[in-house]
Amino acid sequence: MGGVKVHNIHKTFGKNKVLHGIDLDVEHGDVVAVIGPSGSGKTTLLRCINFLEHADKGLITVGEQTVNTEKASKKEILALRRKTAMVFQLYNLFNKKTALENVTEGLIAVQKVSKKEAEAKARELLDSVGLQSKYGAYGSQLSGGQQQRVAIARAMALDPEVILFDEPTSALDPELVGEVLSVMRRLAKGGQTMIVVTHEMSFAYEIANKVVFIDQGLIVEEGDPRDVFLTPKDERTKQFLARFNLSSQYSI
Amino acid sequence: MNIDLSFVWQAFLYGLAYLPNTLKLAFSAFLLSLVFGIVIAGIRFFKVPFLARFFALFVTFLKGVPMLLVMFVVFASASRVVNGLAALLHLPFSAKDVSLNAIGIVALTIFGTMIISETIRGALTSVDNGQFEAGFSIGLTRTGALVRIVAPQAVIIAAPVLCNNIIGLIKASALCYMVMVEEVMSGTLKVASSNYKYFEAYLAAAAIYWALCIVIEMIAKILRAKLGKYRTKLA
Amino acid sequence: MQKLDWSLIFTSIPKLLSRIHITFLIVIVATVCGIIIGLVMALFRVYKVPVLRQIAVVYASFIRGTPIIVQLFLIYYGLPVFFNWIFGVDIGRLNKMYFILVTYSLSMGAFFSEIMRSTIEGVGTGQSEAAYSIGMTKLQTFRRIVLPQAALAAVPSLSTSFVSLLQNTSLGYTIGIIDVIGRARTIINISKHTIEPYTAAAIIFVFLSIVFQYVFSFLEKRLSKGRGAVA
Repeated sequence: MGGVKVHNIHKTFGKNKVLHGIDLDVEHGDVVAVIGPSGSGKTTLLRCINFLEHADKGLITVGEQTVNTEKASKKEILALRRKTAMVFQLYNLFNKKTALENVTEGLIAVQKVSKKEAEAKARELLDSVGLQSKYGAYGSQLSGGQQQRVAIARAMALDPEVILFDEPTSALDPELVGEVLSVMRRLAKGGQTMIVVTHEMSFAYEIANKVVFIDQGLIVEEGDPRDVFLTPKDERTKQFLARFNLSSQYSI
Repeated sequence: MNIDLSFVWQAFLYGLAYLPNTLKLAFSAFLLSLVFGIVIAGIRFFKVPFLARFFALFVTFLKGVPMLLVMFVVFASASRVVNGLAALLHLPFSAKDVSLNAIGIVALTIFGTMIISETIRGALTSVDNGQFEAGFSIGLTRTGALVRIVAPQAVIIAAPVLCNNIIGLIKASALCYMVMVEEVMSGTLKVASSNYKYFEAYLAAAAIYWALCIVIEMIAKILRAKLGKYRTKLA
Repeated sequence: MQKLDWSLIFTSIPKLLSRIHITFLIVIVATVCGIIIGLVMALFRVYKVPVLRQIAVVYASFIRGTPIIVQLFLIYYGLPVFFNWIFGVDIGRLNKMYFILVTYSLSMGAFFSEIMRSTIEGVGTGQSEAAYSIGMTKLQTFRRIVLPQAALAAVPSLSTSFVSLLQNTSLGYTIGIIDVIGRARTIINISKHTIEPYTAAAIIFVFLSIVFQYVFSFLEKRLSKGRGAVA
């Protein structure tokens, strides 16, 4: 057992209803790509899962723990957050901390691992994302792609049930997108459960085993990437995907 | 608690009678400081040889001197300087003709010039250098670019800070009572000298200054909102 | 008219310096207490604690809106009245230094609360969100992530308030503290020269302000050394 279950999530900002009852099932080891036009609510959905946004209504299950968002206690929220990790669009590396410190921070402060052990693990992780020479670098001394790889290492360090990716490459210069995607690809192959909000359609097609298309706060279509990308059923999905011209790339 | 509230009110009214003079002190000093401050900031901004260095030193020095000492030294040297000047220029006046108010204003102006020149300089330097270059690119001279392009933007940045500077001058003007200038502080204390209810008198003085500063802060807030809109329109 | 006696400036300086420890005492105690008060007040405001937040706002507004000399005398005359009323204790005979320390600590606290509030709010929400996302509690997030960044960003403004505090200590003589200014006035009384002892005092204050400004800018460079550009 494991994975993530989202049931009937509603979220309103002021007068603006963003999520109208979303259900999502993510099995342990799944890689789910969430796609959709801007303003469709996909980022909000992601942020509701770890309570960066507090959903108005609905159930969220991560691993064995289920939280009713209507009466979630601080303790429950914290426990849920400790089963998840997030990679942000703008990296959000901790300022004034080195790459290594960014990765050890959660291990030391949250998991109470000794500093020595934490550093050993952090080095290993930074090596695995190709940053073996950047342990002591501060965020401002790293390129966007390098910062995002540190952020991924920071998320991996906590061995979370699921890593939530919020448009991890959309703030990057085009030539830096590849290095981040290849780290994510390896992570996916390694069996890490991932939910990825993304605009990289070909990447979603390649690594996801499930694609979810959201529009106007509702899941319009979901399923195997092959089905969704190549033979979309809903008109909105067709229109959205037409812009990316995916079928021509993959239907050979 | 043993506070004579009716006396606080009495002292408040007494102090209020001197509010016009406090305003006169603070705003005269403000206007004079603004003129000197703009000149000094301009000289330092354009790095005028010698003068820029001189005023940089002048500002650094004054930043370190407590306002109280400025006040005392101006007060103590007023008669000497005025008589000396009068003799030098053969003018028919002497120190006796100088009002205490003038001494207060001079001291406040020295203090005000220092802070306001820093405000103006800060505003000038915070306008992006690209604005000057854009001015040059359409054929403006340095002065032209300053007057037409940079200064209007600097004013927007400086205005709210200048309001804070006025508050600083109003608070500093309270020290004028130490050199016998009549203003809010001395007004409230005067009534207390007969019954020694100084706590009440200071409460009254505090209320007047506080209210005055809140009003100016509100003006600053409105100014900021208005100019902020203008700033986004500019952008 | 009396002639200026330049040598009096130089002979005054050592005499004035003999009271400099009073100035240092005030400045150091007020800064330490001010930082503590300011931080607590800033937290009330940033985290919107009901009632306490309003108190913090009024407190900061009052200190910002009234001359420090008025605050000094309010404390000097008011604190004994207050203590007598609440605790029935007479503190009127307490060393005058305590009133000075209370006044300047409160003053520094108000300015520091404004500084810390803006630097805490200046640490982007992305930093807190990242901390929450790795499972930190609110307290951990504040202590480990937000506070260190906010404190570093506060150093330049702290330097400014520190220097104005230094200058404000010159008002202590009005309630009878013999600090640098108080000592200058005794020299004036004896020598009947006014300008020279005050000038000597001014030189000392200018020198101290410049030294302190250097210390703070050194501190700032030292603290942010190698930490990359301030984001």
